Amino acid sequence: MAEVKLHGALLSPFVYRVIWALKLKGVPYEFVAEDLSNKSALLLKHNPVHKKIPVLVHGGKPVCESMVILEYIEETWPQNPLMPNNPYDRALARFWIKFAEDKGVAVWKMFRSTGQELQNTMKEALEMLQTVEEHGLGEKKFFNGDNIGLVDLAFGSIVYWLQVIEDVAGVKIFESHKFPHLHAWIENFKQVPVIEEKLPNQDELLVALKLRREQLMASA
Amino acid sequence: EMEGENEVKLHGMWASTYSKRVELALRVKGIPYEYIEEDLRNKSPLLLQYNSVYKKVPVLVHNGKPITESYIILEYIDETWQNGPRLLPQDPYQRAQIRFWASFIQQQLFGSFYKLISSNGEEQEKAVEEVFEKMNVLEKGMKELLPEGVPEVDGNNFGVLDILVTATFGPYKAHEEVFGLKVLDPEKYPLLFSWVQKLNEIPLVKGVLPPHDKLVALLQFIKQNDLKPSS
Repeated sequence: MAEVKLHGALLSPFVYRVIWALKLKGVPYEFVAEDLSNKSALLLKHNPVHKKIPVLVHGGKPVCESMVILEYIEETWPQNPLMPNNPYDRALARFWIKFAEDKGVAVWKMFRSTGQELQNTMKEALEMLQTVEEHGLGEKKFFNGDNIGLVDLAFGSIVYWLQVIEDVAGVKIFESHKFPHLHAWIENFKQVPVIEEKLPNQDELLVALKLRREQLMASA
Repeated sequence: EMEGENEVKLHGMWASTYSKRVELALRVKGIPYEYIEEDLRNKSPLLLQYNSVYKKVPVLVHNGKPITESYIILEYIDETWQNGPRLLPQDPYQRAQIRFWASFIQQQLFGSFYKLISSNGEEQEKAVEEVFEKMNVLEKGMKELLPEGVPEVDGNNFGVLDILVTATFGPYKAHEEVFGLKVLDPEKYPLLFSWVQKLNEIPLVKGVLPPHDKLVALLQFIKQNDLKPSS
C-alpha cells in the first residue's frame, strides 16, 4: 500500500478531523509536524495555493483542505463507511459539511477578536449553533445516525475547540439548556473510542490557545 | 428507480450562475425537468420551505425531496443518474482535485469578485488586484490539472469543471460591458480564455446561458442601485 503522510500541527482542529478519519478507517500514517511560523519547503510544494495544513500525501500525491481530504479518505478506504450510502442522504451530509465550513469560521473569529468584534462573532456563532441544533442534528444520536460520520468530525472539531475558546476568551455561548441536543451529542462524540484516544487534552489546549491568543492580540 | 417515478423540478433564477450550473448538469445528463423561475425579491413559500436554512436558489426537487447548494446538487445528479456522461471522474484523487478547485472558485474567486463589485475607490483597486491574483492561481491550477490543454468538449463530454467554468465565465462579455473590467484576459489567462471560447460554441451552453442584453440590463440595474447580488 502506498504510504500515507499527514502534514499538520497539533493545535489545529482541521488536522484533528483528518487524524480521526484515518484512525476510524484503520489507515496507518506518518505524522509530519509543521511549525506554522516556519513552514517546510515540502508543505509549500504540496499546498502552493493555500500554504496551509492539513495536507494528506498519499503515494506522494497531495490532497489539501480538510473536508476534501475527508471525502478522499472515505472514497479511498471504503471500510467503516463515514458517509450514508444513498445519494440523497449524502447530499444532506454534504450540505451540513459545507455549513460547518462556511459558518464554523465564526468560532475561529471569536478566538481572534475582542470587544465589539467579539460580541459580533459570538452572535454569529450562536446563530450557527442554533441552526445546527434545530435543523442539523435534531433527535439523532450522531449526525450520521447511530455511528459517527464525516459530519460529526466536521462539527466535532468546531464544538470541542469552541468549548476551550470560550474559556480563553472569557465568554460563554454553548449553554446546555440552550443546546440540549448538541450537548448530548458532543459528550457521545468524545466517548467514541477512536475519538477519546485522539483528543487533545483540554487543559493543555487551553494553555496553548491562551498563549496563541495573547500573541495575536499583541501583534494586532 | 422506477420509470415514470422520476419527478425533477428546479427552482432557479435566470441570471444566477449557481442556477445555471444545475441546468447545465440536467441537460448534459438528458434529465427532463420542470423549471420554476423564482423572483428573488418575492420568494415562493415552496422555496422557503425547501431551503429553510439559506432561502436561496437553486433548489433541485427530486420526487418531492429538496437538494440545495449548487455544487452538492451536481454531485447528487451524477450519483443518482448514472447513465449518460459522467460529470465527475471515478478516481478518488481526481475527484479530490476537482472538489479542491470547486471550493477555490466558490470561496476565493467569487469572494474576490464580490469584493470587487461592492467596493469603490482605493478599496476597489485592491479588490481588482486580488481578482487578478486569484485568476492567476486558477489558470496555473487548471494548467497543471490539464497538462494536455483543454480536452474536447461537447454535449456528451461535459464534466463538473466545464460546468463551473461555463457558469462563471460564459457571460464574460456582459460582465466586461457593465463593470468595464477585462477579467477574462486572453493574454493573462490563455487556457481559461480558450476554454471559455470552446464552451460558448456548444449548443448545450448557448441554450442555457442568459441572453446577453437581458443580463447587461440586470447587471446595470444592480450596479446603479448599488444592490448586492444575491441568490
